[in-house]
Amino acid sequence: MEYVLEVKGLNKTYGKKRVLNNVTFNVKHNEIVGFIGPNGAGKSTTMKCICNLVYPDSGEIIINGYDLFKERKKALESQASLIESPGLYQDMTGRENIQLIADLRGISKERIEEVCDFTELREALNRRVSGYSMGMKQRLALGIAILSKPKFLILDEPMNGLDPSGVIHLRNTLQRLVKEEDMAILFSSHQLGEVEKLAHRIIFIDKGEIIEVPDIMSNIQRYIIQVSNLDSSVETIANIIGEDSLETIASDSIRFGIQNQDILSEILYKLLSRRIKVYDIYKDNVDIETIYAEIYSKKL
Amino acid sequence: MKVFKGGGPIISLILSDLKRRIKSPTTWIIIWLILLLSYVEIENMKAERLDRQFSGEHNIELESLDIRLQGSKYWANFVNKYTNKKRVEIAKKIVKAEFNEDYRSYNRYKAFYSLIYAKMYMSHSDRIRSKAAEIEMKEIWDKVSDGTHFEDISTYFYGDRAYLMDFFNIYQAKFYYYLYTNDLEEVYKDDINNVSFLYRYLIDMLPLLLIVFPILLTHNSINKEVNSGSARLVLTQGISRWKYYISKYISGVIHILFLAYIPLMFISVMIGFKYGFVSFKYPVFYYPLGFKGLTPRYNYVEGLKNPYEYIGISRLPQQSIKEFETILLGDEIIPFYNFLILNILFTLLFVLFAVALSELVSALINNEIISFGLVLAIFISGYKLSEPYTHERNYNISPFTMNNSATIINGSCNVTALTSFLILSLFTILLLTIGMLYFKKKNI
Repeated sequence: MEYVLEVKGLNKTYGKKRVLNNVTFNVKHNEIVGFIGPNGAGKSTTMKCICNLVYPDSGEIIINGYDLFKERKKALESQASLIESPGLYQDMTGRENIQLIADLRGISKERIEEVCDFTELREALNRRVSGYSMGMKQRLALGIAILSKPKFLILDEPMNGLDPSGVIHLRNTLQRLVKEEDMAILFSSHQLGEVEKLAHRIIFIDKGEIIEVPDIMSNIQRYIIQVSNLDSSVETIANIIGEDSLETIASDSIRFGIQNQDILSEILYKLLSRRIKVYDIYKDNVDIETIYAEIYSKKL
Repeated sequence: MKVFKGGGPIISLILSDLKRRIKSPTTWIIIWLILLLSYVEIENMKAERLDRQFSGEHNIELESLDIRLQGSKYWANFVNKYTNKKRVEIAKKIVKAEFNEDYRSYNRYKAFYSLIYAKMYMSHSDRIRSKAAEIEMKEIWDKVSDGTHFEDISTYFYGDRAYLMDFFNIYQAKFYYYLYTNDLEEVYKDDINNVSFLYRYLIDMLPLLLIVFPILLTHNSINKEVNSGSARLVLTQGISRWKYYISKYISGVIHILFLAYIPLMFISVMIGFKYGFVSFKYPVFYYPLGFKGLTPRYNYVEGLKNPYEYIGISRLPQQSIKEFETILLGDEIIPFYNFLILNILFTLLFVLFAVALSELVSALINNEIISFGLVLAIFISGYKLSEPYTHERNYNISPFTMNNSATIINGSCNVTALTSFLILSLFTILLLTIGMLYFKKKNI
């Protein structure tokens, strides 16, 4: 099973207004995907559909191999979400919030303690959530989300309302979760800089439709490589990451985008094994704002 | 990982919701209000008691002996000598028994005394009624009459007045006979004790609270959580929407029942400690035919000078016949604990209906202020529009007026207990079904 999430042909209308139009995309295992679009583009509706909070008019959502509309329980067991502001019971303590969801999910005491440690809230867990700062609420909500060790995490605007240290903490935490807990993440954000730092790949949406962009634009980690044999190099790299993910920018230089560092090692190994000389390789800093502007040029 | 087995999630949600509800300031404000209302009710009972004693109406036989003996000359004109002699003889025995604090004998003589009066008042004009009265009287006659024959007691033969008093006296006889067989001491309606307070609360205060509680406490049970986001927290855990909906519903019902009965039990125990405890076996009247049929006893009490008659603590509805007022037929005695259980059951039925309605509104309307206004408007208009049908010769089928369990059990609300059970159950099922079907597809 290649994908942890497959969204196929999602349609949704509110009255006469069509808010989602044939939305189709997927998320691979261990992938962090940024979900970008202007306000009203359909990000939250799409995410709510995936979380089963909004029912689409048509379409298919498969989570970890389970059809959300046919095997709802199993599909939702494999995912966790944070939609809009952290939806916590304000009049309960942090620990009571964790305990409630643990009871609903049948989580062990050991795991509850692990999550309590994960939130780093310590004695604050025994205080009412209404007295928490936004950063504390976000940490608690994230802890609750990972209680059941989901394979897939959906975060809608997770950086909203966080101060800079909160943003850094959240980013580090999410990266750690992907590495240590074998998780994939789909998150939306208006903070393009954060998307750039966190995401492996970006999905763009506007007016309820997914905007098709070449992989080279959607993949965040881009490199420029200077080689001895351009044609052979293009062929070798294309075999690994696909033609859409690379472009020739000079007679000896190729720009390509990848989703993780392992692929870079593979590319270098294959080039060298075909006796192609690599003269130089360096990271091509992606200016996500430029890409955003390119895609939504009419709006800017 | 064990997930979603059986009723686990529902119970977890109910417990968590109840904990939050009971901790909320609204709950504690309501508890204090109930304590205050109860204090006012006790003061009213004290005032009634004083008023009754100053007006010369006493339940103490020693003080009413003169009145009873004075009646000898009057009755001598209407009944035979033996009947009048027996009446005076039993009256004296009653006084003596009370003086000696021999309540067992007191109750037995009172039962027989009431039977003598019932026989004296037995109707001449209505043969069916007089036959019914005779059967009722003979059920206990031999057990309390010390060998006096039923036929030896004569009847009062003048006009309609006799028509009115027979069953009231039969009820009294049954009441004292029950006290006699259960070895209980008589309690008057305004005596302050745990049982009479409970009875007053159930019949006077609880109906109002049962309208107020659902409006105040459950108008926002769904939309509050949708707006705050906590509904998303729970629903994204894979909990079925119907389980979420039903758990909010059950916790709302339990919360209201908790507020309706727990402070009451506390207050009644406190009253017991201060003023004395009365056994929960104490007799009260109810209308057993109401549990078997759909045709009600019509409620003619409105407009009467004295709409209710009391025996012990029981409030019995009267009806007007010609220019007189008489008690309704068909009542029977049950121990107070049975009355309390029936009361809780019919209160539960009304609460199930009221919370189903309130929760449906809170699922339909996201704005909490509008949902409060709408629930308030529905309950007030529902009650006001259907309230006239609880009087006169009407058949009342409005669930909004079925908030007074005590009058339903007493059969004096133009609705029988069976009808009430069917109507409230039907509306509850209907409202819950609509609510769950809507919520299942609602965008959160």
